[in-house]
Amino acid sequence: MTYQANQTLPYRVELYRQLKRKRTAFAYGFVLSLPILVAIAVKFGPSGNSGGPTRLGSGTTDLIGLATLGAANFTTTMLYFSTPFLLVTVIALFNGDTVASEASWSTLRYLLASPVPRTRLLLQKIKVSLTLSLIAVLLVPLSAWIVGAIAFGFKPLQTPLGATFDNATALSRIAIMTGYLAISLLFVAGLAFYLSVRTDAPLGAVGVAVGISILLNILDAITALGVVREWLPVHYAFSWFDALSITIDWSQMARGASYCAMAGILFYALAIMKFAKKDVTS
Amino acid sequence: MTNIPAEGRDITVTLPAVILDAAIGDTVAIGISSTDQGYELPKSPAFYSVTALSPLEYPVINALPAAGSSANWLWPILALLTLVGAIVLVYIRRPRPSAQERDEDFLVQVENLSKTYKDGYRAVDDLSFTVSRGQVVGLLGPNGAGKTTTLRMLMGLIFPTEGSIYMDGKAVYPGSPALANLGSFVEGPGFLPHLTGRENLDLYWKSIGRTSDKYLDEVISITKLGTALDKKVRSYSQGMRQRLAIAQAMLGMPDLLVLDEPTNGLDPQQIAEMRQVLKDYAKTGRTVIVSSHLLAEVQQTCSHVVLMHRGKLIAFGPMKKILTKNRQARSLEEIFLELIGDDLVIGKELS
Repeated sequence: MTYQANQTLPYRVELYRQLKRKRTAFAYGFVLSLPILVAIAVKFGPSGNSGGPTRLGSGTTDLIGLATLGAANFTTTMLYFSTPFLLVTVIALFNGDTVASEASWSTLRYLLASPVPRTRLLLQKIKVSLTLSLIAVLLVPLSAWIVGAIAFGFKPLQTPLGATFDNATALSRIAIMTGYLAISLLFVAGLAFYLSVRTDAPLGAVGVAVGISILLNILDAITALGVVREWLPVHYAFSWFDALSITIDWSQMARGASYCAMAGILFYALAIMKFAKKDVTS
Repeated sequence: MTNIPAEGRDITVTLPAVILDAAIGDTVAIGISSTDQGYELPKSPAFYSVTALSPLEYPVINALPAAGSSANWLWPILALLTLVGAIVLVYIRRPRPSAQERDEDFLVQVENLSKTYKDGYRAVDDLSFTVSRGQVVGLLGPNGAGKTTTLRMLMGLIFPTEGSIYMDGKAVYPGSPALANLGSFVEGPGFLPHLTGRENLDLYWKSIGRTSDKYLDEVISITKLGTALDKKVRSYSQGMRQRLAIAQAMLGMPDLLVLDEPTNGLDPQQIAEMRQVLKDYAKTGRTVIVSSHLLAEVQQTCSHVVLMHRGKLIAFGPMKKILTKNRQARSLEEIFLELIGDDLVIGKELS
């Protein structure tokens, strides 16, 4: 019998193992439900009037107030809605549950003894979790655009500052915003994954990662903390707003994306180093 | 603004910044609306009109686009350096297992193996024994004797504090290629509950990096699961899960099969069947290590015995030899009690 370490736990096998799980479908359903629920609420909700334009946020000219102008504005608003909590939760779920759930099912020890080398096991898990996470992030603008187009039609993107972009430009801006959002979520992804390696309780890892994210958001809201806030990864969660100006100021996005990616990378590295020397007793 | 007098009041409104592409000659219209955010509604109906007193004033700023600053590249470069640094760090800090080898006379060689857990509990203490091919070895002792800890070290799941294990002459460590010759069932089954038994075996096989045939049919006949194999593992009884787990351990017919308390939770008939399965497996020249706290049960199955108590080895050798050496004792159980004297604190249920 020939054994090849680089053939253990192939990417597509691990992807299949995760895709067959109910929690994966549930998480994607969760993400998909946001634009649909908002669109239904605006279209058919009690405050929506049948004649004039229906509006979210009492007709203000901020991002929420402009949401129902058209597909582009609706998509931007859905990105705004999903940034602080929805995507954080889903990404924490995909990354925080992956190793801990194997430990809780006792499958981890059989994979390790088979043997799947420890670092390889984690790298394959990271690849698959990040794939699932990226799909979740992409699902937000894709579903929002489709729902927005059906409910409100195609209109140019109007920003809260008054700039207007045609649909092609709007799409490229939405792509930039989505890309930034994906990278900035690496912090939560890495944190959740690190916790997943440290615990045998899947929901513990997910919950603590979300909890830390909320705590950092609260700290970030305290302006008295001054420059300290600039060192919190969550400080840059909404920096993609800068992609809504006519000339994009990249400075905050460059800093935020890099900073979150660095934090994520460090957590992944810590997870691998910790796991390499861990006594697996689950 | 509250309590506006009848003759009106002059106010200056600072408008929020907006971006507007306006050519020369364009007209900029400003809409003004009012809202009552303080909920201080006037007690009687009132009508207010708004008049512009002065034309719109706007500041002229000679601003330059912010894009293109070289500092923008600093952060991504730092991130890239972090990635490279992390890879180097992980590589440098990787555990370096001993490259020592032993001759291949024995399938398994355990040398001065000790394990002290973080809480100071010494689960295995200076354990040494050898296993040759074709043997059915019983790793015996009461609960808490250190059997499972020994097997976990054999599987590369936990790190020995001292000593080492060799399989086929090659050192065993987490992820060691020597483990490819080992199939295991330790401390209960582990399956993905949302998949069927067959899918579980199939995915396990695809996950373990083997290229040879998997003997699935032979193994399935051992499990006697029949059509239940296509039901979700979630719906299995304890006994069914256990048989599926033993089938998984046998998948690929490894040279060494390690089973930890395989008869736990099985009924007497299944235990008898299990006994036969293990004997048949060893007949093919393969080796089985089976741990149990039921000494009488193991006496009927094993060719060799490793007797443990409180982490220490108390007897080791062929079953017959151990039984004949102690002529006055009729069973392994009596020998065990004799060897450990009055020290049987754990596992009192044996006496």
